[in-house]
Amino acid sequence: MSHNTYWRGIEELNQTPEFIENKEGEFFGTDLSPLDLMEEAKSAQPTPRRDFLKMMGFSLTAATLAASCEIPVRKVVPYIVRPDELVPGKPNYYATTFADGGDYCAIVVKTREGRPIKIEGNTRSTITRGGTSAKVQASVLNLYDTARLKNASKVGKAIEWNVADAELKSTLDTIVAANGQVRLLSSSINSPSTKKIIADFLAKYPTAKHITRDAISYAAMLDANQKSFGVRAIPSYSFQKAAVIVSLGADFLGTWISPVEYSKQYSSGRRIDTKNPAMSKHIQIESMFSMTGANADERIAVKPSEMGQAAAAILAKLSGGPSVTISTEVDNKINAIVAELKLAQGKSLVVCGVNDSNIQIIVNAINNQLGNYGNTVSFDRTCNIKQGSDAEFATLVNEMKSGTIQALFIIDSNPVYDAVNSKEFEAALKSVKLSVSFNEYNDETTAVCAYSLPTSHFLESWGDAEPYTGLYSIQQPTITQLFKTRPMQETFLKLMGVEIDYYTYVKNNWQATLTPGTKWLVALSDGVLELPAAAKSVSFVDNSASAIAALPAINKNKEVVFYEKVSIGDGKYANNPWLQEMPDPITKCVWDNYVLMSIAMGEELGITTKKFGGVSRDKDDYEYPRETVLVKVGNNEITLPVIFQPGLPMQTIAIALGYGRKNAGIVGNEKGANVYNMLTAGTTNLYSNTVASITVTGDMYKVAQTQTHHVLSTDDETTKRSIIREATLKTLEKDVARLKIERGNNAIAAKESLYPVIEYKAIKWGLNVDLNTCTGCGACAIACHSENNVAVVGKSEVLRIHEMHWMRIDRYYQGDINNPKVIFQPVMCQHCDNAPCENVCPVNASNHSSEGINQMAYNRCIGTRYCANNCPYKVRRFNWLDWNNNDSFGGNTDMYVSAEASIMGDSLTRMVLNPDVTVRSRGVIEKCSFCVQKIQEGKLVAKLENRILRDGDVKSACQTSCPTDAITFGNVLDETSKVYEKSNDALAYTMLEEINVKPAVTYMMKVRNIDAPLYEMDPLKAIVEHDDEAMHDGEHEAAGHEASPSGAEGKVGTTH
Amino acid sequence: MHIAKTFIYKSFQLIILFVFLFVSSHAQDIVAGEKIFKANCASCHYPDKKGTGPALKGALTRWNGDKEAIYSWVKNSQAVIKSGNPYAVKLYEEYNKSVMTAFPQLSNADIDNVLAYVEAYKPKVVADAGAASGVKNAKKDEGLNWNLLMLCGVLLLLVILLSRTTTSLETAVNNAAGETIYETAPFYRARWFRTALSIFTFCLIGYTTYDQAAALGRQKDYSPEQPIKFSHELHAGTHQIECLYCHSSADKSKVSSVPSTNICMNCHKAIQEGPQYGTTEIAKIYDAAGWDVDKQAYTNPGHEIEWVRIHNLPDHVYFNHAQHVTAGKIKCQKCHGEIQTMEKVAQHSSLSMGWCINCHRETEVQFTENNFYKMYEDYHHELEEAKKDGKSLKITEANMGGEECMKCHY
Repeated sequence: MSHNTYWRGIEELNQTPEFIENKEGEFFGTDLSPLDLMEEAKSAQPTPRRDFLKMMGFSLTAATLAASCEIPVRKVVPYIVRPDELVPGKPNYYATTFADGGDYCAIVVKTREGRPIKIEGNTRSTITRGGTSAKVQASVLNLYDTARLKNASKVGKAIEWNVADAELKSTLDTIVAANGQVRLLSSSINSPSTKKIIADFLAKYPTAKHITRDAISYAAMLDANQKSFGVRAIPSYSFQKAAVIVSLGADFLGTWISPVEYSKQYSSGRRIDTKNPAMSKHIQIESMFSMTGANADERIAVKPSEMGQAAAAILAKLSGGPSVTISTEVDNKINAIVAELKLAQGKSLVVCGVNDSNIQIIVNAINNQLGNYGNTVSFDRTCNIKQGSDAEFATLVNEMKSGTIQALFIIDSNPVYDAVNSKEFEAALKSVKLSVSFNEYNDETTAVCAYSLPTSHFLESWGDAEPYTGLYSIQQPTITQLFKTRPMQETFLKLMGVEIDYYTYVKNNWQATLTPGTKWLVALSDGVLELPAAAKSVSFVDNSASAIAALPAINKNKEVVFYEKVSIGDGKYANNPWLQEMPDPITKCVWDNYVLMSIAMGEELGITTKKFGGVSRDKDDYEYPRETVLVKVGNNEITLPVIFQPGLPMQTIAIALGYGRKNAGIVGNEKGANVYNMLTAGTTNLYSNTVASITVTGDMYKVAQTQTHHVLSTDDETTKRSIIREATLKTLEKDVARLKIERGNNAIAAKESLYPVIEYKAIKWGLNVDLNTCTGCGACAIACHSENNVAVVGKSEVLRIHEMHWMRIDRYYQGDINNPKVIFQPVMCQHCDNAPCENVCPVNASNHSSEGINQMAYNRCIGTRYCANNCPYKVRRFNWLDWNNNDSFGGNTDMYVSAEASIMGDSLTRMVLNPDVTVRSRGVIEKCSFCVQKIQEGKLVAKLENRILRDGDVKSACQTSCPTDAITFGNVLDETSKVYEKSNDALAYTMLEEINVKPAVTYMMKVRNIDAPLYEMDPLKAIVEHDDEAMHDGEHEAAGHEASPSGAEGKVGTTH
Repeated sequence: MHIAKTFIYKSFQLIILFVFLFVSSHAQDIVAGEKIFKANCASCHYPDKKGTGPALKGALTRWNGDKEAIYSWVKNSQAVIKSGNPYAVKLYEEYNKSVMTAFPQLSNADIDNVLAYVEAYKPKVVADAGAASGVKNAKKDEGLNWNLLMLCGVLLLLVILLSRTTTSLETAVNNAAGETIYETAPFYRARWFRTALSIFTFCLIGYTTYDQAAALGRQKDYSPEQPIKFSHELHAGTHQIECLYCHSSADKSKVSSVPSTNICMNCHKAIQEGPQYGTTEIAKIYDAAGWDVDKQAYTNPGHEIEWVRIHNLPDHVYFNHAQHVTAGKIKCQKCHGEIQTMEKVAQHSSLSMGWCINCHRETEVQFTENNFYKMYEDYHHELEEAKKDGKSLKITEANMGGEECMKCHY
């Protein structure tokens, strides 16, 4: 642990004058609030007194008018027959499945009066184990998306379903009678019932074929496994069993295959027990800066074309295979990696996210060499999440072009937008006689299909999933159909003349095969059905020599990497305002994509960091405009702004996929630019390409970035502020001792306080964040949106520092600007005992509760914003505008609210609001409440059950959403609680402890596994702790700690 | 208004009673008969229409005036059927062979009384009209007040005009006489008076504004007309039906919930007529539930009843019924008033924040009642100490944080 220099961005590193000026105040100076307008008017006119009188008169008249209005008559409309399971005012929870284009998460949906409002993880699944991701959390908002298709249509005109069915059947029969080719094009399907329907359909129509393609292709990996093992499938990985994890470009914590599952596993190997310190070592070799790379202990930046050589070098050094040419710097690092891998035979894991079969084959050989198969990698259960084939899709496009395809059914796939050869596909689609799209949205592909048969949202439909062989999951509806939509399976059943609905089909299918008799109801209630794994023996065929020979030479030119953002992904969720406004974990940019490049490369192009200080900004905006560049790849070119990303390899740029949608809806349309057309089909690595040219255009563009606001000063020489604390595994003992001394000193200093000591009776709420397991994924931030009705403000307002997130994840860089280390720190209201916000409020709207909550009374707040100015953690948010369309005098800020933000005020979208939480109005401050509605509910449940409060009765929304269990909430006065244990851990500290505000939030030091070669640490002993059973069983862990209590450590500078 | 209505309603009842007294030669029989009817027969029979059993009116004629047969039928119907009485058998068949309860305890005289009562029975449609006219009268009373006020206004105006006239006349007289009168300045021109008046006016306006503004949105005594004239007095008062029977989620949820129409139908399938409005109001329930009385079946999907919400809390207030009813063991009447006496529900409490807080300050926490409070060891200790010392110590809801913002606002 050392006071390293941390910085959030280049502007902070360079300490530009604007940055220094703006970090001082909470609010940026030129907000055009009515008061500011008055100020302006005052300076323009010599008689402000008259204006005052005018305003006074107006206010009085307005108030009188408002007062003279009659109180509206409110109606209460009970059911005619109330459903048995529904108690008005109480939530119901249904176990169901998030399955979207193969992506999987077992979830439990909270519904109130029949409408889903919040998604939680399902702890009964051994795959996701109760974790969720930002995307899963946000998917509930898609249900109420105004852009959803509302009825079946034919060439843009609405038609009835029965008419569509009849027309479809007759056309299809004619086509098949004439031996015309029929194709089903879908994203990966892992639903056994759907697969059965499709198989039946293919059997009935002999000219039909099913083709699977994924927007983000995993075909190379599948093909490689076919070659190496004879199985075209993804194996199951066990990150928790690995002492050394090497990832070659796989963003397995953010976007790769099953990130929630991997995050759970990964975090269990990373969690530190100070009494018996051990953790896995994670090395990331990558070409862009991914979230997973940010979590790695060692990160090696290589050019995209260098990735294959790096893999080959590892294999060569492990097994003495043919050596390869690679830069000395990378070579040295690889030597160190190999040394560690060798010591972790059978306890290591090498994964690769590069869509290149050759590299994947080499990685298979590495894992085989290390004896990882059967240990950390297994084919006993194969993963069905991604199944797409690029070759099949290419054949389809060729067939379409030649005119042989007569009918094409497109199921939940959008190739016109996200296919490599989208233009060819779109042109060829015109020659297809019958084109049908099954989609929730009128997306780019649906818009050009003859028939659009809208599917229901997954929260409205029945279904099932088999993400891993033998691990089943049921999907059940949590709301009735909002629109005239239908599961696509019913169309196929109707075409085959089977007149049953999909629910009956799924149920019959399960009862016939998986759940005979009453087991169906048990499975339905559990949400998952897990059958024992059948051991499957696969034999490894080593093709690595030919694969290495086929590797392309290292490209000396400029290269581009295309990546998925954790929030937007492949672009399907582009119309989700929560995800659009979620800051990217690394760049902290919202609402846009951009060109990422290293500072050195920028300087080479003539864009200097100094320009940040030189370019004049708009008066209204905090952000600096960015230089834009014209990037040419092949025949395609695109103009995008430049964001400097420390840690990118030289001569490499990175651009996010999933942007530039044209038919997503009002939120997602025309945000950023689409770069799918820059991928070249058939290249060895689909997601990188050679850049023909980059030219600076001279035009400027504003990118909204949240890292520049709400900054905590990190390098104040006079105070040495303790915001981030970190340790290394090697020096842990020393670091812990130093923390103990510092906290002890702080505790002594704290005695000299003017504030009275608050004594709590029975309950004091506290929260603990483990910086060591936090991966920065942002699931908590979206969960907070969903639980607490947090508003979306739109890009234009983020530019003015008006975003409303109650929870932000600060991302700090540290060290080498060319390859910095990263720390994520979730920051929410710290609920200080000596809260600086409380004593500056002139109306006592901010005050302290007897349970330690820093309370915010919205209806008492008069909007002075003194509290926000006085908050050392900068967590208070002011409602500058009427974001939710709920002002008494509605519509008077509409002109300021952008279209993408105002969608949240739509009556359909508002159905997602949590009815137990006030929707804040304009002119008040808001902030994290520790999910007080859940606290009150938890206490009430205990009272109704006539018992004391137990640990786990109250869980905050951020806690339940976290895929790595990094957040713990509870009563710190309860000595049996997990939060008590964690906040008294030797690694625990409070942020800015030296200013003695006594926060209720504690953090656990970040521990890095660096500078300590693994062979000194005895990796096998280290990792044996984390066996499968103990992995996520929190109670088990808690019990383990309880068994060996340590007196001294628990008492370090306690905060209460 | 309520009192006036009740009065008029009661008078009409009296008038009806008198009418009966005059018309019927068996006055005593009818009154006793009604009592017996209500106690024994009413759960299945109506005097004038079909219920579970036939209408009793005209029974004597239908039994061909055979009183003895009726006596034995009432005392043991199965015996009469077995005896092969053709009408008895027909009746038995007609009502799906449902067996009538035997009433051996009733004397022949009792049965006579019941027969007398049902023959004399007339549906009480008049009562509704009476209630309506009561409303009208009450409105007239209010009108009178306005007239009085206007009259006062006119008189005041006259006084002012007359006084002004006398002053002018006096001045004219004085001027004519050529006399100059030096008056002392009247008190209302004095500086002290003006100052005092200004302060008083300012305070008055300020107070009124605050008072009125604070009362904005408050609806104490709000008692709107409901789409169905449901009487809490009858249901909760006379018939002693538990509040929770209808408001079934009050003990477990945030809201007490207005009963869904099927809850009404639990009883009203059988009870087709009310004492006050006869069949008119109950018919509205049937309409909403989609129930056909003649066919005794649900024949259409029905429609929701739009009740007018009386107790309205602002959106920023979180109130939980379960907390108060189950954990706090607060009686419904504490907030809703003597609901069992309300023919038409009116808002009893102001539902203002001051009202809430006051109750939290006064209400003692049920420390021993609920195990949840075992956590509060300090308080338990204090309570024990106080008990030892013989002092009375009260731990109120406010001590538990009942005065804090985020207990109700979040």
